[in-house]
Amino acid sequence: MDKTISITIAGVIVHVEERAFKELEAWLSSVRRHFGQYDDSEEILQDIENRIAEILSERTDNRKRAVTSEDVREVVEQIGTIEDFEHFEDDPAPEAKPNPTVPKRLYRDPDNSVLGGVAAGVAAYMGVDVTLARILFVIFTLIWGASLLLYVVLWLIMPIADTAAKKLEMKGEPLTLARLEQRIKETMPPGHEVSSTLGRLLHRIANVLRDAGEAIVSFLQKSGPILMTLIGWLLMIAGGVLVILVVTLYLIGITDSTVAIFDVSLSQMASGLFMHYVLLTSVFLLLVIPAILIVMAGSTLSAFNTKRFIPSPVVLLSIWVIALIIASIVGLRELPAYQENLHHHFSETSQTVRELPPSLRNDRFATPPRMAGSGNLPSETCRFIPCGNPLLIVSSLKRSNL
Amino acid sequence: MSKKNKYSLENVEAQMRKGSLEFTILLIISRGEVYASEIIKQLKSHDLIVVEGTLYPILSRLNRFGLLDYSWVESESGPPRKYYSLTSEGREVLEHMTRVWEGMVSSIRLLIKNDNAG
Repeated sequence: MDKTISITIAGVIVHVEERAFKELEAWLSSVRRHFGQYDDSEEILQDIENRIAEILSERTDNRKRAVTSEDVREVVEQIGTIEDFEHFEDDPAPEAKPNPTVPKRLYRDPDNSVLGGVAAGVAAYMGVDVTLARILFVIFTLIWGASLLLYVVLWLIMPIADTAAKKLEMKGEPLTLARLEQRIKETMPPGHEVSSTLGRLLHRIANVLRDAGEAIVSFLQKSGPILMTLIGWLLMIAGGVLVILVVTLYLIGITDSTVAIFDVSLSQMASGLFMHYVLLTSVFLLLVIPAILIVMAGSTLSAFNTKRFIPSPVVLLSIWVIALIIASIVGLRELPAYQENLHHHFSETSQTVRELPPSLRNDRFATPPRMAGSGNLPSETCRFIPCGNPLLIVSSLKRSNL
Repeated sequence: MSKKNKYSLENVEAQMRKGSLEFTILLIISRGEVYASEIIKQLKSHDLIVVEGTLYPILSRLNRFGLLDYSWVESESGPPRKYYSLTSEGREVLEHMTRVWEGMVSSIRLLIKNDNAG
């Protein structure tokens, strides 16, 4: 006994057995994607659908019986797979092409999920082990709780790989009929085997959370597209403001070398101007990339296409990691220089206080400590004269001139 | 000769067939109205095409350039069919293609003869 599904191809109603339907659907979606880039894609696909309907009608004796896997296989054989089309379209290749790489797409993996399948999907996308992705995720959660939020956002925006074709795409495997069949067979019984009591309990909890999460996600996706758009716009605006803020600060930092902390110019604190700029730039990247990612998340939610002007998240994340490494190395190297300069600065002022005669101390506190451009004074002078008091500086300068 | 430069006979043959495919399709259609499956049957019998999917883009391209026209004809089994015919422009293009083809064939034949003669 087999369940049949009624479908309409080219205006003709056809009954298809369930498995045959899955195969047909997977193949047809790959064909659609292939011809989608053509100028006359609609017409081509219409022609192909007509032909499918024709072949299936002929084979089922004018639709007197349901379409089986064998019929679908015959259709695929006659019309061809995307490999056949690509082989045909290929310009004379000097050598046989190695296995065509299929661009991977980011989906949530329902087969290897604990919660929403986000970690499994990301792992498949990056080509790493699921366990590694989970461990990293847990570590990030422990360090910055924010990755929990990230998880929720990803759960919302990553589409679930609910068909065999999408699952192949998730792993970047080429869409061939053999693979699709294999995948359909593989995914038939979803089986998790958990032995220990604790494991079972955790599994239970995970299941409840997953169902709840799935329910919320589907609620938001189905009944709340407006809410999603709204959140998306809010994220885009917030991210945009952050980007502008960070860029502005960076531009000020890089063009105006007099920006100072505690009166000591930042650019003078580093061991060299170049190092200062390297550090500044890497810190800038560390801050601006998350802001861009927020904008991207927002744009995905609000279905606003930013793909054309923003590089892919993978590229951005790689740049971010590189910036993190550079910032750490340069930062650690420069830290002593910064510290020393700051320390120097503070010891100057405190020394000044100490060396003042008691009668002048009150006076010194009455005037703000750093005023008369004492930073311009050579530190040698500063050690011996009370830099804090403008009057004294003037008098000491006069004395030295004499 | 390195392996890289090894001559692929199969490749050249495929290219020759592919190069003449549009010409062949126009020839088949010029004999009278046909629908896609018949074109495919003829192409397959001459080993000019392997799978049908590759034909549809060519047909719609020729149609877009105004060389082909089609009309819908109901069929007893299945959906209506597109019957293709040549437009006057298509006929002109076909005539030109035929001249080019014959020119090529005769010069190649001449070269083959010369070669045989030594």
